[in-house]
Amino acid sequence: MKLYIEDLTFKYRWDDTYIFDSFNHVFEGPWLHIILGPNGVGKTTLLKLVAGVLNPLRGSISLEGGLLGRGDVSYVPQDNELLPWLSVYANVELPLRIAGVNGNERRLRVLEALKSMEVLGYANRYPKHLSGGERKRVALARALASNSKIVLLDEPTANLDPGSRELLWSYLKSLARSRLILVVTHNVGEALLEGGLIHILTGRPARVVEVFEGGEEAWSRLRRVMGYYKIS
Amino acid sequence: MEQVKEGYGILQDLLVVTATLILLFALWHVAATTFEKPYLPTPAQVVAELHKSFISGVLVENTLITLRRVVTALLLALTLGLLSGLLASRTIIGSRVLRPLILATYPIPHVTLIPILIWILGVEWSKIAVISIITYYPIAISTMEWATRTPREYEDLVKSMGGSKLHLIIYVVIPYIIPGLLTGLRIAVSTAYAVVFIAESFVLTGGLGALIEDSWHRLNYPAVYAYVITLATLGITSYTMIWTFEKAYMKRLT
Repeated sequence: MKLYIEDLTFKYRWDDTYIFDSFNHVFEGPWLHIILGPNGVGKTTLLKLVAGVLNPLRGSISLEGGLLGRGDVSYVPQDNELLPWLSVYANVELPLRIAGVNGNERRLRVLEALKSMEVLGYANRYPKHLSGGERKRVALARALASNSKIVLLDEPTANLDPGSRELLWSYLKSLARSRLILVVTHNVGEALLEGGLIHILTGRPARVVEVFEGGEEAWSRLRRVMGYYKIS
Repeated sequence: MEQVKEGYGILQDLLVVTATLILLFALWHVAATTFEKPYLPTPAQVVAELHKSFISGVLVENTLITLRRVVTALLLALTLGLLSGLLASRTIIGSRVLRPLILATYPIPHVTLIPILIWILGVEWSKIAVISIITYYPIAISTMEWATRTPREYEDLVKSMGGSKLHLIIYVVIPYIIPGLLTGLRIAVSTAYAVVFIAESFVLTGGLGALIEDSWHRLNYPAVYAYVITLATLGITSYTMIWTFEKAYMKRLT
């Protein structure tokens, strides 16, 4: 599956510069894609545009030719990734309810997703009783249960301790075997280390200046990557 | 640990309330026996009156009449307040037309509408209507204010799942405004018992307000006290019930 971003043009109403101006890019999946770039470059905006939360002024975002439909995308914002008034179970169930999946199937899919993210024991808890890492895993369970082809995560490891970080990355990588995952981060070291396909986003309007495989050998690019942070 | 502490807290609260009540009654008794005025009967006389009224069935019958009026009025106010509050904050037409209308008509002394309402709605429904009108405002206004500040992130989440406007209302707006709605309802309830007295004492067709008015004209002093205490107890009980629910809801979220 391929996620095509074509001629994407967007600016915020209060801003006089364009964040994206005829932006074109392709993400191929199933795979783990990491979008790396300095603050304010438009990483979160890109995720929100793909998630359908923001509407582009011009251009299209399509999945293998067809426009993105309801349930194709699962979005995990940086904070407040779960609704605080719903239990863990109800949070994971929400996209299925919205999509009108029937009760029996809903139950099966929610339980299975909770089990595979190892948060089944928290099903009846409320988000405030979970740690940051647990909340992210519940959000991943929600993505899993909804069968969405694309999962978008905004700074998923921002407030996590090293142990939870490592665990989350391992879940993300296993999820990336069947889905297209876009992770946005400004943590250069973590992105390079964890691998996946790294896209460097920089400038205004934003453009992708480099795409390369992460992993051990990517460290040699560190100096160059840091250079992009100074430009913008 | 928390559980134990909490249980202790409730027990302590109860103890304080009981002690205060005993002290109050004692002071009242002393004052009543010292001044010996007809308009200040002793607590014992009032309790005897309450007992008599209870045995004869007058107390229960009229308490139920008052309760039925208050509850009907509050349910009406809650439904209309919630609906119009949501419309006024979540739709363009609502925020242009309904919102200014609600805010502009809020300071009117609505109790003065009773005589007119009697012409239009008849004796029974005019009482319910005036309580509804007055309690509508705190509910509608708190709904309106809270529904305009729902966190963007939660709305984005539901939108990204392909949720419709109705989904947004059900899964984000309503759960988010519940604390505000309960605060509004709490204010509304305490006002409702004040208004029901005025409404019931205007044309006497049963209810605690009518009993107070009637006993007052007959110079039955202990009875006036007895029914005022009953009405006050209803008010305090309703207020506390909503407050407890409010606290429980907030505790789960934050």
